[in-house]
Amino acid sequence: MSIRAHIRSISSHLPEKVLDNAALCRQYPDITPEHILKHTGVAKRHVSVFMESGPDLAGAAAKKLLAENNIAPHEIDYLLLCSMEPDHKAPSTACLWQHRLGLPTSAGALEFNLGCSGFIYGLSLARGLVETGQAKAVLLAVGEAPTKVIHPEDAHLAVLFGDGGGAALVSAAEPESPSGIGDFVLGTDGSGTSIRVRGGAGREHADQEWIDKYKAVGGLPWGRMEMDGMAVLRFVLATVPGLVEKTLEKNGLGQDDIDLFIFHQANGFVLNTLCRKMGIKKERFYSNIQDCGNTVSASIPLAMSAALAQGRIKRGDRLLLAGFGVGHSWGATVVTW
Amino acid sequence: MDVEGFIQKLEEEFDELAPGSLTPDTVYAQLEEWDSMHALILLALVDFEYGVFLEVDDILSAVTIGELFDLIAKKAGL
Repeated sequence: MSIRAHIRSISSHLPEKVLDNAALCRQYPDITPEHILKHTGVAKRHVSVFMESGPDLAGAAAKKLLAENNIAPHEIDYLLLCSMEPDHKAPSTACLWQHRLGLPTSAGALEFNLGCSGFIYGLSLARGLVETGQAKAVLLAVGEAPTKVIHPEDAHLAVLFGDGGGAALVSAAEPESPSGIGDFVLGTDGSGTSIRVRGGAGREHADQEWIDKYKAVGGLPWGRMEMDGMAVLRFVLATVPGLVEKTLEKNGLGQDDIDLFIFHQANGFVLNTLCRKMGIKKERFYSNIQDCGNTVSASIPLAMSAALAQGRIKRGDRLLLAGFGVGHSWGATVVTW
Repeated sequence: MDVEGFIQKLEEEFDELAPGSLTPDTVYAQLEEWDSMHALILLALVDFEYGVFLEVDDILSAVTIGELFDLIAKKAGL
């Protein structure tokens, strides 16, 4: 009998330090907390401390997943780690976390960098590994610290982004269980430049000139994020409704068959615009952006964790998950919980 | 679809604006409340209502609400 992969459990982690809109506005006297909430949907965001990296947040979420679900590290035979920022050029951060999490040396470990669609791509890989019998228990950990690549003068980014991590355990579902991971629709358009992090890597490394230029704000050694809001909105409106439609079609479902739509928490305005354009009922459209902002690849597992904690997801519910953004890269699937 | 209908929709979306505060001759970039967020709201509204994507240059090149509406109508093939 063929193997069907499902998400066995999910956990998330947010750094301790919280920056609410009132605190943020002390840096930006021209804007008000109400203005931020109204235009981005964000009320507060969590901020990592110095030298606490995106992979650290992914690792913390993975640790929490193992502890919360009484899963022994030796049960894991594959680690997938997604973050924009590797800790070292080599070795891969996934290898470091195999050791830190106490996973067996017989486990595979692979790191990838994708951004907002990273969790969806990770699920797609995990499903493939489980259903082809290459792995029995895949730990997918995602973590991002976008606040480290935001120049303080870029208020439009500082109000929107937050740091965080998420983890999911993907394994074979019991034959009688309804839960599973459906078919995926994926896509890429590498010509899209609406979101970028300049500097801090190979082709555009933080050389002396760069560090000197940003000396007053700590040198921005990890790079500087740039985002063209209009171009992002255009990309999202042109791509996501079709992505959702194709994903429903591929899984033989209609919009009414979905119990909860959980999208990458890009921006409250963008999410509302999408919901309206696609005619999705508000009670079936989940958002937690107000509590943690846009956390890049961590936003979907953070939203799923919050929805589970609030009782918004029940056993057997069908969830349409969609990630989209930097790349441009996008992907979606239907998960039965 | 006419410019009055467009103005009504704009006034609904930009909730800081009192009904009747816009006319086809309004230079929208000079509205006191206008900021980059309004450009995004405008782009989303025009996509939703008329199925047209405005370019950044479109918003910059059209000076008045009436000119912008003419541009949308042209793009929408109306």
